[in-house]
Amino acid sequence: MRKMLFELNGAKAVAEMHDDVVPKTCDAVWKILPVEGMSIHANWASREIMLHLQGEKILRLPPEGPVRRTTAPGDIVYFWRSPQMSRGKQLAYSSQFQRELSEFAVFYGDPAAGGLAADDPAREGRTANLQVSTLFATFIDLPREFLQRCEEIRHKGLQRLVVSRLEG
Amino acid sequence: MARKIRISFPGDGASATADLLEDDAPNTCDALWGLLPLRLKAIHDIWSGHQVLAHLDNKVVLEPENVLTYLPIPGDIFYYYRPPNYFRGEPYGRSESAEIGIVYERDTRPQGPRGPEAVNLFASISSGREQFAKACEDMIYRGQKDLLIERVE
Repeated sequence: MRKMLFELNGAKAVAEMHDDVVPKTCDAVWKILPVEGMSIHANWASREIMLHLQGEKILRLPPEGPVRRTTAPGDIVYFWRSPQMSRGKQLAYSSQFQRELSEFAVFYGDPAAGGLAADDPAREGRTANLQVSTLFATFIDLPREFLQRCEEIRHKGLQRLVVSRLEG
Repeated sequence: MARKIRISFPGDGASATADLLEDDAPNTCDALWGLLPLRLKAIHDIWSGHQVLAHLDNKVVLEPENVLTYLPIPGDIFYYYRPPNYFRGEPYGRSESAEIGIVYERDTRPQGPRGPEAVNLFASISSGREQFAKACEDMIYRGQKDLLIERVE
């Protein structure tokens, strides 16, 4: 399985792709690496940070693999949401990714309500093909320092995250 | 006439005035009024949407009152208490938690680690909400802020 390196403000973690389960998504992600940007903390999904894909790095991928309704600590999800799912009013939506959302979602701790809160039916767009959520990688080396850096985004604000291929 | 409180971020110059909901939550209003002024550290919520919260000393355990609101509206201010052992807390969160939550935008639903929670609504912002909301949302990008809650007399 291919591996990715996540570097967040000096802390590193290694994830393994699920090439055997979602090969097309993994290929597409692999192709755009490295990607970097200011990671932002989730406001609904609890222990999750997000890296928004922008410009040439935006991915618009179809659903692939099993439908998962929960997440677990260490999961990394490709997430896309159609522009019409968000009114784009909030500062968070307008300045970072406009109305369309394409991102890596990194779940670093226990998700709210076992992950169900992150998949709020009221905001669910999957059934109308307005939202794609694909688990494509999971951390295999997730040091406590990296987890702390994730949490610190809540306290200190946005932090730079770099995701790159780990080869050799 | 309802008593009023001022909530402000001294570092930003942003402030709003809220009316206490003394008919709905008289005991909560009395108890919190007695604690003012409060200087707290506010942090953006990560479960509930457009909401910031500030932890009180865990000794501020109020009897349940007006614990009805699942779907607050912008400007709502609530008290919430989570007892020990309700959630394991470590390595990040608090196990026991007494806190004040401020809802600054629509599409917010208070949630704890176990899912949606009803909260004790005790105040509602009556002026200055728009400016205060921007300062709340700014916390997504800049992190925590000092929060001052004081009486308006």
